[in-house]
Amino acid sequence: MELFEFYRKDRWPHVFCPGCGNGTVMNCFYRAFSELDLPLDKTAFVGGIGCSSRIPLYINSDALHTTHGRAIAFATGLKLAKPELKVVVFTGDGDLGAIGGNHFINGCRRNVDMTVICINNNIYGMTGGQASITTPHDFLSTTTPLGNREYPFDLAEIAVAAGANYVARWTTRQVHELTKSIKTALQKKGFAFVEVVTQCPTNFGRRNKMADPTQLLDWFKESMVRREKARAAAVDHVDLNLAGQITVGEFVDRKRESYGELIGVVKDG
Amino acid sequence: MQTKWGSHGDYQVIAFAPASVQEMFDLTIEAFNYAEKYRVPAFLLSDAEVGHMRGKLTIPESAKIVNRKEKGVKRSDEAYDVPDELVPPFAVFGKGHKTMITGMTHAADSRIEPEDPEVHAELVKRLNDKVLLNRKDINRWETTGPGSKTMIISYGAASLGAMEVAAQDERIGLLRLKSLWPFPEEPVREVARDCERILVSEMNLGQLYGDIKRAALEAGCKDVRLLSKIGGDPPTPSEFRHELKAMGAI
Repeated sequence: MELFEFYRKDRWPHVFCPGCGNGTVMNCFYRAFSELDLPLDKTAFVGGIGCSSRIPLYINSDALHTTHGRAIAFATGLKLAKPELKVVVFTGDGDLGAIGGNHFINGCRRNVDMTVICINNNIYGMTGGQASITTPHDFLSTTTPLGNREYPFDLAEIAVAAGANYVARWTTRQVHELTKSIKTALQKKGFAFVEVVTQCPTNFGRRNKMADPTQLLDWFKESMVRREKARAAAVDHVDLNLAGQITVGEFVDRKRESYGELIGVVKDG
Repeated sequence: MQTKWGSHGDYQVIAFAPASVQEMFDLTIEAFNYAEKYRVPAFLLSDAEVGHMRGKLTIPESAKIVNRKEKGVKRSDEAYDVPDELVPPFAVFGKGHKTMITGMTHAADSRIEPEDPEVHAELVKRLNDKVLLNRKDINRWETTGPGSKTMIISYGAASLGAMEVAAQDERIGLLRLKSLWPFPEEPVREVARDCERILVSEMNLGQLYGDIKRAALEAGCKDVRLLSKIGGDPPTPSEFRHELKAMGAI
């Protein structure tokens, strides 16, 4: 599939800042989707509110731009009403983990058939750089000018604990691993969750002495640890970044029954 | 005005107020049908009184079901046509429409234009008008003793005592609103034209009272009062009679 068969050329240029990691994720997704040769008209894209949640509006298929935090709830309804469609959600840390945290947990618990790509830039980027639930401890933001006193959420570990069938986390540095994980997620039954730790030079990097996007990518490289090599003691490990680590890798790949199977949804398309 | 109405911007809702078990059943069907017909959320204002009520329920053999109009695939931009009734047909996902659904200000072809005042005005006016201009189709009410000199106007659990009073006293009539939004302008005006006094009963401090009084005064009824009761118990028949006596109605 050509790039502009997949993306809507009439929506260009996009809203993302120079140096933003969203473009990398869009490219990886496009590559994975094209290589799998999936039908675009039988795939619906859902986003919440935020920079990353704008991605569905650039894709040349049915797109649902929902209220803040409710992407998983809307996507669940869409999947139940139209089980013949593949449902892909693009969301961010603020949308998915904070404002929509409960929908996220219960989406994983129900194991609803959908692919969720969470672009985690550690900040509320679109609204001006407020601390989000994934802003690492001690890092600066507009709402934590003296450093974030709180410790961050670990979205991928929450997805594992809540019951998602597939969970992976990569950074925008690892485009090959990310593309492979997106491919796996797109083919997976049940809730497939891919978190991508992404650079936001404008609102995260700039306030944390990493205004150049390459500095953020270097920070990813330095802090990245494969999950199997990460600290074994789970009690110590809250991630991003209690131990100064960004744990990456495939967290889980299992075959729990999906929500559609559990409640006996019949495809009519 | 966001502080008063709970959200910014202008919008209209469809809301039904059942006062019996049967109405709870019937208006649930209506609410779904109107939500499909006008493509807006429809509210069913159940309350603890109706929720705990025991009563006779007749379930019909079949119910009238309205399905939302669906777009075919004639042209690629067909999904964005706006017909005369202001409710565009639904472009179903998975049919190749490449639909974009967004809550942001958007043009007819779904382009997001949050900073274009003309696009915003056109969109928001249409969304309001599709409910307001179809008011007569949506409103539901029941009148007991039409033409009475004294009318009670009420809805939901607040109208239970009024039903008893109106049934027993032919001097008293009752306009019971089964739908509250869009505001039932026509039935209120019709009642107000023919009567001398109106008693509005609500289980709050008078939330619909202002609108009813405005419509009633405009229609020519000069004496409009409020029986307000809060705390969860509906006003009793004797409380209605007490208030009606004070108005000189009985």
